[in-house]
Amino acid sequence: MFDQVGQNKRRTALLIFVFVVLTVAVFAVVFYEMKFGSAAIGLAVVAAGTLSFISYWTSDRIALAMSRARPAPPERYARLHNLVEGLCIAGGLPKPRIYVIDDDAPNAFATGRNPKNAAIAVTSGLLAKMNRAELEGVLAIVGFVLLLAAPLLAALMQYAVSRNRETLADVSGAELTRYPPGLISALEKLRDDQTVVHSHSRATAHMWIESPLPREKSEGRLSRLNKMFDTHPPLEERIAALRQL
Amino acid sequence: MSGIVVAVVLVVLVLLVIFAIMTFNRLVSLRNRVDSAWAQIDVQLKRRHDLIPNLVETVKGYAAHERETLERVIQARNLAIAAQGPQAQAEAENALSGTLKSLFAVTERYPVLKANQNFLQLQEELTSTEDRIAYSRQFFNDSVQKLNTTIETFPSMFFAGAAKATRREYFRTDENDRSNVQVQF
Repeated sequence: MFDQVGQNKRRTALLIFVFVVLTVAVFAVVFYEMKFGSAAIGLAVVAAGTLSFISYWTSDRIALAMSRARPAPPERYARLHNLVEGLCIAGGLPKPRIYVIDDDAPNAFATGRNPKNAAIAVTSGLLAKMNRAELEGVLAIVGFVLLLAAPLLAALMQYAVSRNRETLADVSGAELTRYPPGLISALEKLRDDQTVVHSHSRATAHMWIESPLPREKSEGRLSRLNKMFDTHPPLEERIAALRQL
Repeated sequence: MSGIVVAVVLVVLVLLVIFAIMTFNRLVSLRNRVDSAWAQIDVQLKRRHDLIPNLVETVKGYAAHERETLERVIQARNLAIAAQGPQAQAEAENALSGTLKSLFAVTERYPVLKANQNFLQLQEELTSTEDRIAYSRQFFNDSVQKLNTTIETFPSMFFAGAAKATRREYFRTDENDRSNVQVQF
């Protein structure tokens, strides 16, 4: 995982570069239309640079605020903190900040621009419904989503990051805990649970371990179109992939 | 014409030097990672040693009859602290794990103890410390594997000597230890 972090940094740099170029282009067109003339390019660079910088540095705080996460004190959430610390030791990574979201739906996500500034958020429903091994499995997967996709340039990530990332994170999570049964039973619990996260939003859907959006009945022509924009592969497929290990 | 040849040779040389520096640095960082991973195991073991007296005191208050089990835990802890060398240390730590399992099995008989907040907290701490010991060994072995692979593969093998990187041994448990720990009452 150590090595994946380095690889990820390079990928992040590339993503940021593309993001900046795109925003510069958009701003340039806008400023040009506003009759700024040749100064449009310069203004666009400044505006895009500022915007990118802000979204890069505050992405984690925005994501946490959007899902109404609050810091989890170690005294009250000893098990959660201990499991995260254990996984960090296994992966040779610094310990992220830990947050809890008051929500009955079992779900979790990780965010942050790099492992040093990372945060993990879990719902109270997840803590209540998962046993120790399952919770550890979920945390391992969530930690991996973070490593594989570190920064949160929201719109860009949603499209650039394919659904394969989840499956890859599942498998890497198993490499970390060396205990696929824990992960499988955790994903099965997520599958069987029908509760939906309250503060869900399409903008942040991709960073959760399981899609926080309500599941729709898959019938009719529209559903196939919808499926194309799904942020997560069906849990059934992810469980099957883990069983093959 | 000869100017172009000189330029090409220079570029190739510079690239080679950059590559050599990067490989050398990677070897050094892998070597240091193995060392720190080894130290991390000791940190976790010490953490466990520190937790045990508290646990024993708490259990004593509720289950004084289990003196024998408690004494075995204390004895195993002292042996683990005194153990010298990786092999002896691993054996003593495994023995300690066994006595702790016995202790937790015994406490099942004392519902009042099991409801004690302090005891539950200690149990959580010990369980997670056991996890951490296992995880830090896993990370150590992962790091050793990376170091050994880098030392043995082409072309990084040529820089191993300069970076003072040598093959390292994996942390192993004995064949006997692979079977489940015997729980004694």
